[in-house]
Amino acid sequence: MVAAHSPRETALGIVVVAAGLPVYALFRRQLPGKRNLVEAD
Amino acid sequence: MQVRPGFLKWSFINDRYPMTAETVTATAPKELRRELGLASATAVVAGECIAVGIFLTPAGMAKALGSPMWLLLVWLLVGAMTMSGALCFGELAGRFPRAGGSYVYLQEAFGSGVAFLYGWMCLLVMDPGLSASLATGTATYAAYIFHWSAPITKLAAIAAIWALCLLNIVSIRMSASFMRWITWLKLGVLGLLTVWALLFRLGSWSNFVPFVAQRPGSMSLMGGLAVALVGAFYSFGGWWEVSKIEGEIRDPGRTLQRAMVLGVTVVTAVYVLISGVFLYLISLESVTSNETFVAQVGSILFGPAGGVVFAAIVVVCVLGSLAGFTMSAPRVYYAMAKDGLFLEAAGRVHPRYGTPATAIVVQGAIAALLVWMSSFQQIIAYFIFVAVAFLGLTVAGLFVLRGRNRGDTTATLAPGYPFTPLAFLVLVAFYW
Repeated sequence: MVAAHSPRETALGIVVVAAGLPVYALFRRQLPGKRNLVEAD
Repeated sequence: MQVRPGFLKWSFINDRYPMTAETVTATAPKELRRELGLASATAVVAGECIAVGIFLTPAGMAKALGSPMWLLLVWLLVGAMTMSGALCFGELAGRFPRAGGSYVYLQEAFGSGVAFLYGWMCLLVMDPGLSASLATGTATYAAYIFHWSAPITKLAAIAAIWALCLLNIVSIRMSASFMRWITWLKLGVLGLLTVWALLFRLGSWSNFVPFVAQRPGSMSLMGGLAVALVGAFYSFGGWWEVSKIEGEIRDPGRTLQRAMVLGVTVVTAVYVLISGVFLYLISLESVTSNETFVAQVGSILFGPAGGVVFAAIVVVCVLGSLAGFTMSAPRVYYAMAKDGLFLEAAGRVHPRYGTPATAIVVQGAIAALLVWMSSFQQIIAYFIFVAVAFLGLTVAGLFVLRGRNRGDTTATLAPGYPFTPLAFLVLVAFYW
């Protein structure tokens, strides 16, 4: 009925999502001077 | 500079303006066109939610709860909690009326880093994975009707993805028309199913007795409620997707909030009604598993042809959900690219059709690849926790945004604040 999630699956999902941080840094490096993104206060 | 006549022959701009590349560039749309109204937005909400879940979840829920009253109450309770989330999204949509949905709201509340991670998850796995899952579901049920082999079924799933992608590239209005049409068809078929069951008296009202007491063999009430709440939560999944196409909705703040309220109301009514019909047809004691339950219902309703008829109904339901998803998901990549956080091409609007064509192609390509690899079910299982966490975080962001008074402050506020977002966060917590 429900796509149950084990702790292992959850941890793997979190790791892959967190792996987006270096990619984010990469995109951000190309940004200065082009746009101002919203930053958390 | 003169451009190739062949190119301009196909350009709508050619009809009105001189044939130079400069004028083509100058007059081509740079932003999405606001062409959708309340009916289209509501169709996206209801169409995305009502998929295969309504046929598979009631059996597990009924078996766990063992009581008709509790089963119907859970649908109503989750409907009310979903409504609270929808009202919060409605306010967020009014505050930030642009394409991207949760990506935009997370960015405004928690900064671009958190928003990027959400978009990254959507892009990398979640949205293409769900598209692949829905397309494969559609093709699998179609294969049951037409006796397709496994490779043909896979090709049909990929064809469904690309057909909808092409439709979305060519025209958002045509996509919306298809969405409205298939949602009406879906509601009509489910309505017909109800009338058929009652008209021919195919069930028994005695199945509702005792109405309150739990049947022997069911779970404890708390355990049953936990299982049923999660099942119902999944069946309502997808109502928030409409916020991603906000860049193409007229009077977005007002329209989106009304569409979400209307859509969630329709979905709740359908779920209560269909669960009631299922209970009328089959006694709780006879419920064994999800799959046999559907076969049982099909056989009672339509005799030996029940399996095929039910498969056709599921094809309509799941295809409608896929259509809505194909429409909404690429707008996140479009919004990311507009912010410089994804490939620039994905942020471009097609000069002729006014749609985010590249973003749609990206979505279609990854989804088709996942169908081909047949690995999307496992991938979805990895990310469903994070996806629900982002959903909760988006609604929690309303506290931050109200505190900072950010966005269009004239937007319609979610009634019952702070209980509205809290009610939805409780529902999300149940999932964990």
